[in-house]
Amino acid sequence: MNSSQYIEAFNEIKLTPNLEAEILKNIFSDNISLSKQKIKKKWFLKYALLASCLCIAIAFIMTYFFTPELSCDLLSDKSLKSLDGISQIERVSIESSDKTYIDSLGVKRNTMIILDNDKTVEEGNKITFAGKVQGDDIDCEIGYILNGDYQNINNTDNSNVEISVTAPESGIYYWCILNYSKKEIEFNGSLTMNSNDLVYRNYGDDVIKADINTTFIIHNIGDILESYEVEGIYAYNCATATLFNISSKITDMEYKAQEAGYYVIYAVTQDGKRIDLNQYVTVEVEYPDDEAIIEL
Amino acid sequence: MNKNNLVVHAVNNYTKMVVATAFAYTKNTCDAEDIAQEVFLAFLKEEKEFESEEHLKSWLLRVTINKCKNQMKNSWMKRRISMPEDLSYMPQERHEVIDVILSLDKKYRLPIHLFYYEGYSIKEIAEILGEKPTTIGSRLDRGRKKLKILLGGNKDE
Repeated sequence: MNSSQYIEAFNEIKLTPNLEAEILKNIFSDNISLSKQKIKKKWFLKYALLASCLCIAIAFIMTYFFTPELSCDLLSDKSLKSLDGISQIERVSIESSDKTYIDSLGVKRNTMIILDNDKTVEEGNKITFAGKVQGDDIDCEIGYILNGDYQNINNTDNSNVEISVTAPESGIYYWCILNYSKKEIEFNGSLTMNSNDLVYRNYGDDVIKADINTTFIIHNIGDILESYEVEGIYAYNCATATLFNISSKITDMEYKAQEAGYYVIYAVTQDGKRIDLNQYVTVEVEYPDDEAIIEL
Repeated sequence: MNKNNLVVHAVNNYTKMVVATAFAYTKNTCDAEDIAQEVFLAFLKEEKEFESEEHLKSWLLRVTINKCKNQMKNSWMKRRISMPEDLSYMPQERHEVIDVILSLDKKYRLPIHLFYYEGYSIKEIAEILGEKPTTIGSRLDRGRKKLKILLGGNKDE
């Protein structure tokens, strides 16, 4: 076989008539429809991009402008409005004692946890909130609610927390942890309420500080109370809120304190009137030899 | 020459070449014509500048062979049992030549087609098919020997 035989044989094959024209017609029309498809695809991509941006914008607006309103009966409206970035408030009951341990308390992101121990703290008492915060990227705030007002005490990005506060006024202090971190955090620690006598407390100017070695003496009590019909004479310990009945007789009085504290001595008349006797009280302190120390 | 004119030029001058090569590969004129259309559509979309007619011609052949390979890999094509091409309209002698060529394995068929029909050298065929010239040379030699046996002719023809 030579090449001319081969070429002739292949040229003899019947093809579609006007194949060239057919191909040209088809490829040019195909090309136009492909271009249209490309244009459609471009528009589709633009619409898809626009829709995505719109969704993100709506999500942003919903998050920042239409966050459900917070509500908590412990917080005033003003305090609630001040809680930027908090979307949820949870109240957790804890044991009501001088020292309460808090174990594995989970705080979700953007959540405020209120520790409710329903314990009244006296003015001047020391409250210590201490413990350890665990989690990634810690960003939290510690504070308390008193009379409906939230007071921020400490912002921390540290794992160790130790806050001591002297109660500025008597009331129930609801301690709070606010989590601004991106993830949940966990708190382990304790809340201590210390009624340490070393802390200054103001019971008024006229109270008498006493301990068990103190004796209250009033001479000539009859002269002082002669114009009243006295029902009894009492000593009230402000520190322990305990009332002691001293006497019902109007004679010279000598009364040894039963416990340490800040005393108010007074008489109560038959008609219920209270007569303050502190200004007439003489105090004697007698220490046993083995316990005697010189007071400064 | 703008692209559209170049495409018209290519279609008018090389359709037969493309269809014949595709036919040598697919053994079917309908498939060959479809492939030819795809090849020229690819050419229309091709942004490459061609240095010469020869460059264009060899590009068209390379694309034709690639399109044929892709079509034969298609799962539908693999499952298809193709009817033998009816070449009864051709004179007996030419019909036999086509039948013998198509009976060869495609590794022999394509070099023989490019050698006899397009008049390419071994080196040029090697470039178009992406093979070594020695490989093409030996395939061409074996293919021709097989042809001789099948056609019952002289080995040197």
